[in-house]
Amino acid sequence: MKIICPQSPFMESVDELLRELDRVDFFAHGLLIGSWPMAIYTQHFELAYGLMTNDIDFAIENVLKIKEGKPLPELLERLGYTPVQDYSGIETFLQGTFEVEFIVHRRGGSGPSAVTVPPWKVAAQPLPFVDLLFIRPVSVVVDDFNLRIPAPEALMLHKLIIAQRRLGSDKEAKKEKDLQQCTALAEIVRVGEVKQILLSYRLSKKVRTEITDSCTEIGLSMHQLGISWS
Amino acid sequence: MRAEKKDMSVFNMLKSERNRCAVVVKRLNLEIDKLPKGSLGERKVKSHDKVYVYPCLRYREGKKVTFEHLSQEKAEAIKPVLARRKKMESDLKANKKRIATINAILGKDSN
Repeated sequence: MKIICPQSPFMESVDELLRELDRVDFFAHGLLIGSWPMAIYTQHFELAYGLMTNDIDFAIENVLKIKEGKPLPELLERLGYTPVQDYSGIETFLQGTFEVEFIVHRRGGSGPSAVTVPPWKVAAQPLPFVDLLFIRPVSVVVDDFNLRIPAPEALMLHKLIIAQRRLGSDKEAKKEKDLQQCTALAEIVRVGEVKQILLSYRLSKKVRTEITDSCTEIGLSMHQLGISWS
Repeated sequence: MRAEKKDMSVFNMLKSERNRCAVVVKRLNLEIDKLPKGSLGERKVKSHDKVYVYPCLRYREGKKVTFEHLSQEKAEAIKPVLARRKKMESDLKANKKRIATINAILGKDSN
């Protein structure tokens, strides 16, 4: 799927960040994830969802396959972002109230707390189910730059899973945000695409239960969304 | 607005954003504490009819302003570190302002 935005759904500083990342070909291996793709879906599909937090997350696919690229910390520092590393080694870039983070897919239940992407010189946070977001992603054209975001179907399935896995003191608030995004996305997902993704992505019994639980909690019909385990 | 007409997800979203900002504030404070404080300046010292100009680091300790003499090399080296601290202090201020704004929207009884 390709989306052409007649006008940018982002504020100028976010436009600037995405434009610069596109210039260094980041989106050949990366996706804009988190709540920001919702800004594009909201504009393109006229969805009733307009809540975005100031953390801007990017997912990176197949870290080992990235052979060349410019160091991202330098690019981000030029844009006014300050790198801050936490005790686990994950790097965050801060500018005012904006927080940029990089995320990679984590296989299995445990692993290193941070993964370095050598050509880009960033320490990304490994999280499970990030590979799901890379199935049939959407290309987006905004003014003078391009980016990639997850397909609404992949994003919805991802949120249905992680809503049940949130940790920390504000897990309930995050869960509610995830499920609210699912409710909004359920209006635009294509049943055929959902089925296609489920055919190509193996889900454990536990994960299937999590998806079922999320759908039940927000009153979504799994049948109508194309979610079935047969 | 009556309670039953409120969309609670909006409030929860704000709470989540407030928590995120609070984590950022904590991280920024930790980083700022590691960096030297103050600003670079110059001190003029008159001696034997000559005036010598030395770079110095000015910073406040309680009520007292301290001037720390630096070599030219050390002054050059500390310049980007002080700029980083200043930038982080500005980010810290922005995040605290955002938390205060969210608190004002949520009201005092929504912790």
